[in-house]
Amino acid sequence: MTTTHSSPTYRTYWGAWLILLALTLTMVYVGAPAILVGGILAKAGIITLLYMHLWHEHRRLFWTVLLGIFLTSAVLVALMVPDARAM
Amino acid sequence: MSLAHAPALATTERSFHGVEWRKLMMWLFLVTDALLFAGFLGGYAFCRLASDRPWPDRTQVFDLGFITVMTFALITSSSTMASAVLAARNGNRSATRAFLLATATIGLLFLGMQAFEWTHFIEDGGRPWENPWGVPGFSAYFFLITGFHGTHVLLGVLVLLLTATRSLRRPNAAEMVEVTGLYWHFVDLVWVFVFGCFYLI
Repeated sequence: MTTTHSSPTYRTYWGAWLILLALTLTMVYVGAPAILVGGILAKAGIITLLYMHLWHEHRRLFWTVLLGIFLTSAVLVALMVPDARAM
Repeated sequence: MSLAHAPALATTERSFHGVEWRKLMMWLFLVTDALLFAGFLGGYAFCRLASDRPWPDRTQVFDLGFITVMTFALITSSSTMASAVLAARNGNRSATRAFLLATATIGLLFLGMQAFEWTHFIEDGGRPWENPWGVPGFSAYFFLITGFHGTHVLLGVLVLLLTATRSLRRPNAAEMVEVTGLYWHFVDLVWVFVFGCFYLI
């Protein structure tokens, strides 16, 4: 929904900024594969859901965006990775 | 769903099921644009996984500290952009303009740093068709992916400046700033994946 009881404030946004910086530093200095994947997903989640307000958007828009990107990316990975490994 | 919400969710000249047209169109564009980058990164992953020669060592090629500062710059510009959207929604025009201009400035800083990075990469012998570190696909995808992303940043800076100078006096200023913000956050979002997939793995 566009109007909500828990609209983000400047505090929310700059708090998220600190978390994004911390995640980036963790990814650079720790760099284990699980940390990298988790860090990418966490950062992408903060940006889309909070900064782009996707969490507070109409549910139809939310699912259109999410399913559109994730299904296509999943097909891309499923089709390409096995072929690349076989080469 | 209470009746009080019903008019807002109707399809009108301004909105489609309660989502403003401009915003909806921007979201649909961003989905297609995301798939473009998904294709690039998928192609890069394929090239890397299928390579019969060892992939170049990223720590020898890139100054990761420098790239991390670039990443900080883009994250910071996303926060100033989110603040601009909030200020516009609150009707605070001067704060909106200040946040938009700050975002554009940081965007230019990012572009300058990228130009610096490209200069070094090219001076070291990186070309779209060959490079001294090994597999040609490495530099080909470097130019393709960071080049497309940088072009998006450049367009974003222009849109930010146009929004700051032309849109704020309009009655729908808040909506215009929000749509500009969606695009700018998307540019940051793409960088999250580029930074993770290209520089850290």
